[in-house]
Amino acid sequence: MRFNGNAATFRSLPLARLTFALCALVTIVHSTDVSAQFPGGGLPRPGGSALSGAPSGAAAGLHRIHSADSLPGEVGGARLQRWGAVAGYYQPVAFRGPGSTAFSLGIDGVFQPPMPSRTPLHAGLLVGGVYRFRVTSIPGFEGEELFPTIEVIDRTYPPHHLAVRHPIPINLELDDLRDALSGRMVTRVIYLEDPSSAVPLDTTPESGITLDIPPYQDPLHVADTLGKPVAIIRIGSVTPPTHQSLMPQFFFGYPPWVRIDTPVQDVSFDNIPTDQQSEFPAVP
Amino acid sequence: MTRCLPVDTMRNLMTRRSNLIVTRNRCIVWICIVWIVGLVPIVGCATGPKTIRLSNAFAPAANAAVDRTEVVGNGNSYNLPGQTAPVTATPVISAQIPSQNVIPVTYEERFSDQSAVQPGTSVRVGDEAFGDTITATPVGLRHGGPLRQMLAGGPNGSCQTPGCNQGCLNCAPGAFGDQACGPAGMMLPMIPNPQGIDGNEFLCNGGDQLPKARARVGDQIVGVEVEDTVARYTTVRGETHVTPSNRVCVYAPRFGSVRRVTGADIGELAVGPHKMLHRDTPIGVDYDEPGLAVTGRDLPIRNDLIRGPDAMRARDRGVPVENVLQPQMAEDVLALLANLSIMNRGILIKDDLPIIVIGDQAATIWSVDQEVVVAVAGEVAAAVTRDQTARELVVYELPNGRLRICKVADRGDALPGEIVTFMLRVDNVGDSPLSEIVLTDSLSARLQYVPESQKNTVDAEFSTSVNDDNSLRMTWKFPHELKVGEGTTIEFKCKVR
Repeated sequence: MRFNGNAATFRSLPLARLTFALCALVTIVHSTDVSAQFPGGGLPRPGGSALSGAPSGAAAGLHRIHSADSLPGEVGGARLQRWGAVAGYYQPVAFRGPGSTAFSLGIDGVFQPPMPSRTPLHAGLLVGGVYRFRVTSIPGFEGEELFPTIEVIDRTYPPHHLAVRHPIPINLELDDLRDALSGRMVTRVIYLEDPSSAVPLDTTPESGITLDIPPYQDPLHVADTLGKPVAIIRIGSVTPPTHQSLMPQFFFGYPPWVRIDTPVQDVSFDNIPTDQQSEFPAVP
Repeated sequence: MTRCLPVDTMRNLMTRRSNLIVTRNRCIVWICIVWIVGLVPIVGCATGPKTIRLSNAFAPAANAAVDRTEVVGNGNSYNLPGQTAPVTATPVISAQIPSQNVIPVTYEERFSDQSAVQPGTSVRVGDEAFGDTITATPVGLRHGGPLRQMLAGGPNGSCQTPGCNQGCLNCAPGAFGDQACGPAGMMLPMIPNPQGIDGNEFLCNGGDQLPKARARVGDQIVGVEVEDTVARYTTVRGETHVTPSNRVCVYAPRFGSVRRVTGADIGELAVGPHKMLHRDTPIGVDYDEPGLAVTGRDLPIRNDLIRGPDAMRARDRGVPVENVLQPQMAEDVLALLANLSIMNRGILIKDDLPIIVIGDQAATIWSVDQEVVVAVAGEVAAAVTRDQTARELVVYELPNGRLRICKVADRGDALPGEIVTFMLRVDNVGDSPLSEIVLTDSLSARLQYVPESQKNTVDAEFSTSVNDDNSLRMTWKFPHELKVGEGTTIEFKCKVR
């Protein structure tokens, strides 16, 4: 009889512990799921929140910590410290330039052969990483090179199969390249536009909306009021360092990237083979 | 000194202790079960529907999309500026990718661990891991695709009908208790991506945003905001209703850039006059201000304000006829209460009890809202207590009409410059004919109506006007009645800006 009670105790304790563990797991999953549901501050909102972390980052009186003048990697590194599944995510980007401009990213300190003319360079870049790329074959400036940097500071959340089809467009204009070649510093902040305050202008993936601001304004702050900043491009470097020991610093630690060789798939109806179109009979 | 207890007492104590422990553990288990049961619906709401699939007709084609990728970098590890954790670079990969263009190889969208990317291996992006989410494939609106079949499934189609079930992904109770045809095309998914969702990447149209649309005199509809799709109609009973369509969302992120030039000649380059024009133009403040000043929306409000004092005067004139007796009654009551012994001297006497009981009931009655008091001369006041409610309610319903609007899109995603075809299906799902049907669709700023692209199956007067976002608001007026069970289809194209 004495052991009956103890046996009952030993039978019940593991069950209680297991139940407690299950409860804790459910709680953790719940909190993780909620945080993952609102990676960019949730559903459509006025203004972005990449800098503030608040759902409405464009609120007046907001004190922004970072600016586009921060050291390369600082804004993206700070983004990695906050919520969301951003660490380790390869964000697809597409480089385009005027005319025959060619782009190439580096591998182990050596730039790869540029993509053929008029073929955008598609690559998956880590959020928080700073990548040095080379711009050659600039129209009107043949033989000259530029070595801008791109810092991915946030990501997109595309549905199934659409990550490669909707990359972040890095469209450099001839003015950017001309200004940089003449010794000026061009800073571009790419942002995801807020659809509720979208500008009713016709655009294409090759020609986005560019807003020029005076030098006393911060492009990162302005972009934060228009949407969610996702990348910072700094164009100004014209020559790589000559000494080999400076190369890691020049390439910002050689962060890995993913090359996307496939052209963007057009899944419109017109591109579907005719034999598959015939699967749908006409409505009487 | 050891205290000895009888064997039976020890046995009872041990048994009671064991029972207490078991009871405690069982209580903990039940508390946790209740906890889990309470959390499961919350989790379910947070995650939302994870399976939203339009059509699998072209899924194999989309799955066969070629994404040849390789991870490049070197084998060194460095600290990136501003990063605390070092980034482990992956050695160079000599990709062994065949020269074919169609290789079912994709790469993972997110690596939980960068070091897991092994050299020489092709990696994958979002396939089976997210296979239970949206399939962004065309569903063949043209040439009689599934959407057209769904919309043409019959005017009496509801969420229970097979035709509607294919496209109406969310059958929710409608305003009249019916099953409204839910979102088709691509609804803004709760979780299109297990890693999250950013609503700014979706272009939505349809539904009725706040403030809600309302019908006004004539065939006007006010409160139609950008992206709204609503219709007004009149039933045989003369009632005018406004009903919205479902909301359709297309994945179409658009990116912009902010450019700043700094340097020696910075002032001349950055502060150009044409730069400022770019900022002022899209805001379009001048477009709205004159309209607000000229339109007559404020006039009815002023009329209401003017009518208010008139109503008060009219009420004042009528009230004194009935109120003549009330002060006298109040005086009588007060005089009666003032003569009570408990009021005068603080002494409760038996003769005053009936009057005090009446006053007590009255105090109770007046302290409760909406009580009914029946006073019969000389009798005790009777109060209808709160637990007395109507036992039966019989409502005789006259034939009423219901309009259902289904809105779908022919594609789930679009790049700027591409064409999206929307289709609206309007059905009379009620039990009486509907007349004076006016359907309006206000496009968002990023949707540009393709001229002369709208088609409808019945006669309708089509007109457009500019809305607040400098886009178009399209309106269809149906001159004829929509009989019970009848429906019509409207199709139009929009270019994504």
